[in-house]
Amino acid sequence: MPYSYASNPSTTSTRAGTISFSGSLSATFTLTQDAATGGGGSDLIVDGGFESATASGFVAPGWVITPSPGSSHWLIIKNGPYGHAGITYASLGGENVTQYDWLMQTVTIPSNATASNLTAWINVTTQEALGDNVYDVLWVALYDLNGNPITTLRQLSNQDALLSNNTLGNYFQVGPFDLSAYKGMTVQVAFVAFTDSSLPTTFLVDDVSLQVSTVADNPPTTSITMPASGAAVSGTVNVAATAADDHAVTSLEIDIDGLAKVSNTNSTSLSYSWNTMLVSNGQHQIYSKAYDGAGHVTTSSIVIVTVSNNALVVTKSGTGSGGVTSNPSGIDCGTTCRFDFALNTQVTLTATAAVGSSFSGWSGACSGSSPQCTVTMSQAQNVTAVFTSPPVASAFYVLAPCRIIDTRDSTPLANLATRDVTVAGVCGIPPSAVAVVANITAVAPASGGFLAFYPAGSTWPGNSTLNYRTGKTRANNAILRLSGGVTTVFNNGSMQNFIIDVTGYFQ
Amino acid sequence: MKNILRLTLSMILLGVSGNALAQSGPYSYYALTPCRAVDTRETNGTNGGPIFGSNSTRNFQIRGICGIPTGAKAVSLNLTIVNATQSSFLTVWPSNVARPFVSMLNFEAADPSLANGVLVGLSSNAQDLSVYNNSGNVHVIIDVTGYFQ
Repeated sequence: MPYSYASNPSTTSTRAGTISFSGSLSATFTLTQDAATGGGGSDLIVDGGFESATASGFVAPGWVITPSPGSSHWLIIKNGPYGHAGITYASLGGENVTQYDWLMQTVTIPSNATASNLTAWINVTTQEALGDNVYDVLWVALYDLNGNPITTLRQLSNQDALLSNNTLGNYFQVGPFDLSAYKGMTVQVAFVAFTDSSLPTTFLVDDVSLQVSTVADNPPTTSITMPASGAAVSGTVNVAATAADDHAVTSLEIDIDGLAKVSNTNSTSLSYSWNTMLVSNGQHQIYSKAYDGAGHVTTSSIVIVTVSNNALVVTKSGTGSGGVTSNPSGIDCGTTCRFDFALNTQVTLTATAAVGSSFSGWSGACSGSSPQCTVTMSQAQNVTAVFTSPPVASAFYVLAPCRIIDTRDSTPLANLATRDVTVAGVCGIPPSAVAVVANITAVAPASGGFLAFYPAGSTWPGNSTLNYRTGKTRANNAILRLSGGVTTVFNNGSMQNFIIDVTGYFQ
Repeated sequence: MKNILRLTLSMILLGVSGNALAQSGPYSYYALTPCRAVDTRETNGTNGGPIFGSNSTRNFQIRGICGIPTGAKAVSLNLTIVNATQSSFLTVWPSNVARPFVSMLNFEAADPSLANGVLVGLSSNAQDLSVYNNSGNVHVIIDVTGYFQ
């Protein structure tokens, strides 16, 4: 099988063969062409030297000229004496006529270009007095495909005949102009001459070059980062995708069941809040698609999730242990802490504490501390049962009454604010104290409200310790459990000063 | 005359016997994270509504919830009233004895809310803690903060 050399192959290929000599002598060989790894440089301008033009006045391949090819005003000179190189060049202007001459070529700057430099050789000769005002002009410019100007790269005029010593064939180079700002765009490189009606200026253009350097552009990678494949989901689910590319991810989208749900541009991450209540229960497919500027599209691995919107999920928390069962049956948690009930089923949950533990209450779709709770499965529901193990036994130690804190000496506690008050180490209370016997005072409240004390480091358990009334300085006695020797105060009412006095502790 | 005297002695003995039931110990204290055990503003139930009426007693279940074991002998709690319609007082006591003539929380109708800390014994009944309201309507909240055992 003959081997053909491939330009920029994406994979490595090999061919093996055998060379036989006369007699029994032979040799084997392997020919390997590695996958192209790097990029390279190339000239985007087709026939920048116009040498492929068939005759004067006719367009060179790749170029568009105005006036049109074959008119009496020749813009392409074949077999002329004044080329920068070769025997063909473009000649703009040069007549005593008010007119524009256009020489344009459409190019697409690759999105993976690392450099893009336009150069051209120009020769300017004029019959204007050298150094006179600008009368005749040549613009080196970029236009869009609709013929609208994008930018002028260089403006030359009859004054620039000085650069050519006003001698035909005496070229100077313009550029390089960096066009990398137009990566991924298709534009027209234009040489536009304007001449007025007297004392002509001739602009010769030759050897136009747009050198681009590119590097390899591999397809992007992308994946769904959440939810996990195989996950059981309900309600509103946060779907997230990431993507990466060796250049840039130009677009990223998340598809669910084959339909694009959301997309963005020029970002490597994307998320989508998926309301699973709007789809059927059962399996659904999620994947992401990433696009790069080189036209590559990558689809991620498919993540399959199971939507279950009538699932009752029971979670157990707390320091103790116990079980939760349901009627109708389904939940035995234990081990089965999730069950899909029919829509609108009334499910009664029963919490049973293990020996040595006690049930302390529900949260989520259930509340209160009764061991039984009924949930209506109008949607997916989550219930948490809290079991606690018995706290440690402690004995009472009496103290001389002692003031722990008086916020009038520091700052009052704002409404809806909490403050940690360290009790251990004050008033003779040891670090090992588990609770203090305290008298709590609210001083001169500006409105009604309450203070709640609870062990530091946990959320407010919904209790109250001292209810205060507008204008009434009021006290209450309380046993305050500590955590690490610290109690937390939560205030609900008005900016409030408070006092903690202790008379003993438990340890 | 002798028969009448014996009857009187019998009544006194009953009273002594009732008090003696509540005398036991010593017990250790177990501190808890505060936990709302009773709130009569909640829907009707053992530890929920309805609101207390005048001269009414209700029995609540304290052991077995909020981390309080069934073996608990006494509880430390914060007793709170809200929405009182008249000045009144509350009495709290173990549910297996007659209501003692004591008060734990005295309040006015003008108090939007008021609380007092109470240490009180628990009976061995399923509904182990009794609460009495003297007059008017009032909501009662009990937050437990620990127990004795």
